Amino acid sequence: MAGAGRRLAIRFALHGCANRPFYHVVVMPVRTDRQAEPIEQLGTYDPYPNKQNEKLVSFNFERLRYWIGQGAEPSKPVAELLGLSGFLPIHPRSYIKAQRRRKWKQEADQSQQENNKDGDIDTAEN
Amino acid sequence: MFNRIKCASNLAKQKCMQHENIETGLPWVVSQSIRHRMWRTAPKNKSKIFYVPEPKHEDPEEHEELKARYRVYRATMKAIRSKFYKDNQVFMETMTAGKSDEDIATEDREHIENLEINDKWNQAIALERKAFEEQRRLKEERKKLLYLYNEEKKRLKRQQRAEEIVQREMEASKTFITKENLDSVIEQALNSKQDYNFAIDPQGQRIGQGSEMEGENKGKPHSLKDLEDFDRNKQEWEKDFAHAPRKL
Repeated sequence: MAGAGRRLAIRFALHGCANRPFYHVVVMPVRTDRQAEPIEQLGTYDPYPNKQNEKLVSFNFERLRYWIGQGAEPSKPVAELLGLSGFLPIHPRSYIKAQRRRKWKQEADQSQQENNKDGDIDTAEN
Repeated sequence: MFNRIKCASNLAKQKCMQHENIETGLPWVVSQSIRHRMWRTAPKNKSKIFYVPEPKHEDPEEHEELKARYRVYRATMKAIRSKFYKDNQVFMETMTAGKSDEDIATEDREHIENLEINDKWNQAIALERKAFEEQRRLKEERKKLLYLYNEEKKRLKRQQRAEEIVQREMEASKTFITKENLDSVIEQALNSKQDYNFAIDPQGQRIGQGSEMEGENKGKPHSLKDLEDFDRNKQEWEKDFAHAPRKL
């Protein structure tokens, strides 16, 4: 396959300032610095939810297609985002995360119900 | 202590390489020094030499599921990647192939025409450049010559001045006192008495002869006779000092 000379990665490059992360999705050789000059920027990712509680992501799918064809390997977080966007199959980690969240939510709901029950009893006693 | 450069984005990085922020006058680069707790080559702490961190808890069910899902995911990714690779290949082929001979011929002709135009343009520019360079060369030559001329002029001036000084000194050296003529000069000095024993009026005119009074008048003030002499000789003196500027 093409691009066998050097390993390429599609990954996040952290930009932004103090307490305000912002990521560029970039393609660059695996061993280079995070902040080094990328070969190409393929998108952005804003991990802070906006007013509508959305985390905004943008991708250049055409170039992504090209670079993945050239042998660039998306990092796990990028692969997860690409899976959620429908460009690639959903990443296994996404499934596990969803399961965990579902479980936690269930547990939280249960504990809340129990608390409510206790509260009811207390009020009844008073 | 390490110095780290913080930049908002790559764009800012490029900017900061070039110039400063116009509004604030401060550079775009903000250098920040960080003090790490330990240096990077610090040895392992004594109390931690035999410390083995506990492995993270891993849900075996989750792990199994993850393994299974990863197997599928990897296979799918491999297929997708090969597909994209083929797409790339096809795209590259369509860029070059799929053209008729006529198209290629016209392209070649156009290319040749373009080359001709380019050559013409290059020649025209070469002529211009030649003329320009010739002019520049002449200008520089003229500048150099002018410089040399000015330098020569300065040198001659300096030489002339030096010669003048030498001449003056040579003239002056005729009257210098040396070891040979020391005695004679001393004798001469002793013989030539200068007498300042006279008064002057506000106009700087001498009153009296200036010679020491001799005989019976020795040690006495000037007599009336002196004043008479003064009046008599006044006109002559005026004639003598007519050329000298008089200052009050």
